[in-house]
Amino acid sequence: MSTLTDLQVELIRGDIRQNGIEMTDLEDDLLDHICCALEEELDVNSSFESAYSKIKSLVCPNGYREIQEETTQLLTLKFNKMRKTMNILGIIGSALLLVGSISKLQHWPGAGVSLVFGGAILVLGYLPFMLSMSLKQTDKTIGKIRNIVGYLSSTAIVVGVIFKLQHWPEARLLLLGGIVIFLVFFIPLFIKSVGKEAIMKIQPVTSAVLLMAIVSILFAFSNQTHSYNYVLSLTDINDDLEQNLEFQNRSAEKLRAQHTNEALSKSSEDVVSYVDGLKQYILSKVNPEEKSKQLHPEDGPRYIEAINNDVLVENFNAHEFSGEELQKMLIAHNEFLSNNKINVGNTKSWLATKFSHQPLFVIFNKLTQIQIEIVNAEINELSSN
Amino acid sequence: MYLKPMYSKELLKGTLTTIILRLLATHGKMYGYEITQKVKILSGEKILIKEGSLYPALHKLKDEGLVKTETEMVGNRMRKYYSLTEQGGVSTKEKVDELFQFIDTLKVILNVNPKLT
Repeated sequence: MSTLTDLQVELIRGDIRQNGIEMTDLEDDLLDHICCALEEELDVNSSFESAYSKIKSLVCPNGYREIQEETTQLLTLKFNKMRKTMNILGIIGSALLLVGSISKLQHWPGAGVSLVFGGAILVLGYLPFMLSMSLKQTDKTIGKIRNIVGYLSSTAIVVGVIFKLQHWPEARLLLLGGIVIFLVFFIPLFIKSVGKEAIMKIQPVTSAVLLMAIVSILFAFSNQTHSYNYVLSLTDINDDLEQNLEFQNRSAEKLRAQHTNEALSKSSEDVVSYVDGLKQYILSKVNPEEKSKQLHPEDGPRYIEAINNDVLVENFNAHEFSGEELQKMLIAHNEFLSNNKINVGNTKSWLATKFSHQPLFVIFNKLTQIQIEIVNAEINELSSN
Repeated sequence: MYLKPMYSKELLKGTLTTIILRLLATHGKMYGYEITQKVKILSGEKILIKEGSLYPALHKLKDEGLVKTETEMVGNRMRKYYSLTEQGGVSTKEKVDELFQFIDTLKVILNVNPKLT
């Protein structure tokens, strides 16, 4: 009977590993088995290559990986019911995440609840269970590292999506971290350790969950993408508006010097400086170092992330800006104007048209426009007297 | 060399662990390839155990504590010998008895010779 050389044995061992066998016990069994069968085959067939491919196709016509899957299936039989529940939970969780992302963009109600619930199901239920199941399938360090890395990155991505859409802090870090770990570490580890054959056999449920999570991420990112040119043109417009405001202010000063309506002038100056304060606040939130009144395109179209009822801030849950104090001031200011009143409108429409769902740069421009409107109204009023 | 097995996979499915346990009880320690060859010879090549069923079954038995393994180096590869644990011995007897009873019952059910009725 022929005996295999050490090199041939190593070749077979490499092939078994390459084809996704990750349980050392099973690898030893299969290697010995294939070698025994091969040594017998070599008595009648002198070519190692053809003998090996014949034995391989006889022993595992569907690839080595199938034997490992059959083994884990038998060993984890008691978890089968749980596996089914978890698969259903995974689908529900990722579907909620997807629906939540779409609702968020469309400003439909219930977006936040659906996002947080979906994410919680995935992060607390499905993903940890998948990790514990996948760790049972391998006793190789590389396999364990791969599974843990996959778990960490997918958790970071799901949590990141929620944080991003809810405007909670550190969302960008979580998302980028998760994606980088996934692409740079998980995918190479996955391809290296599992082998090409096995990649084709990823569970349909896993791929469905994966797909929905990816689509949610795309939505999360599309939420706040404005081009640099768009921001640039907005800052240009704001520069023009500021110049216009300065010009109007100079005209107003001349009229004010005649002291025809001091109460109006006082109120007008108050509102204008209050809006200046708002702009300064926004700037300090975007860039604490910035002292000038100008927004820079590098600051990006950000949303303010602080709760303070006194100024225009983003409401975390409703994703809307509240300008209630400014509105009250404008209504009070209108008392001093006999005609050409500032169009404040009713609460909802004014807030909705001016500030709802607007990025920072647009808000900033609108504030300057309000200032111009006020000064203009004052000039009109004073010159008509 | 490799013949098509005579019995269907479904028939073998429920009896595979009993066959393995019984073989180990008679022959002491055996390695995987040896088990397949022994079954092939004993059954007159009517039963061929697929590797895809044998190793999952062996690992399951080991997980349940019915068999244990010891290793031996053959060249530069490892050969794993499977043998019964004490608990495995008890379980083998139960399973073999159960299977014999099952065969007897099957004979009664399937024996529809009209002369006997």
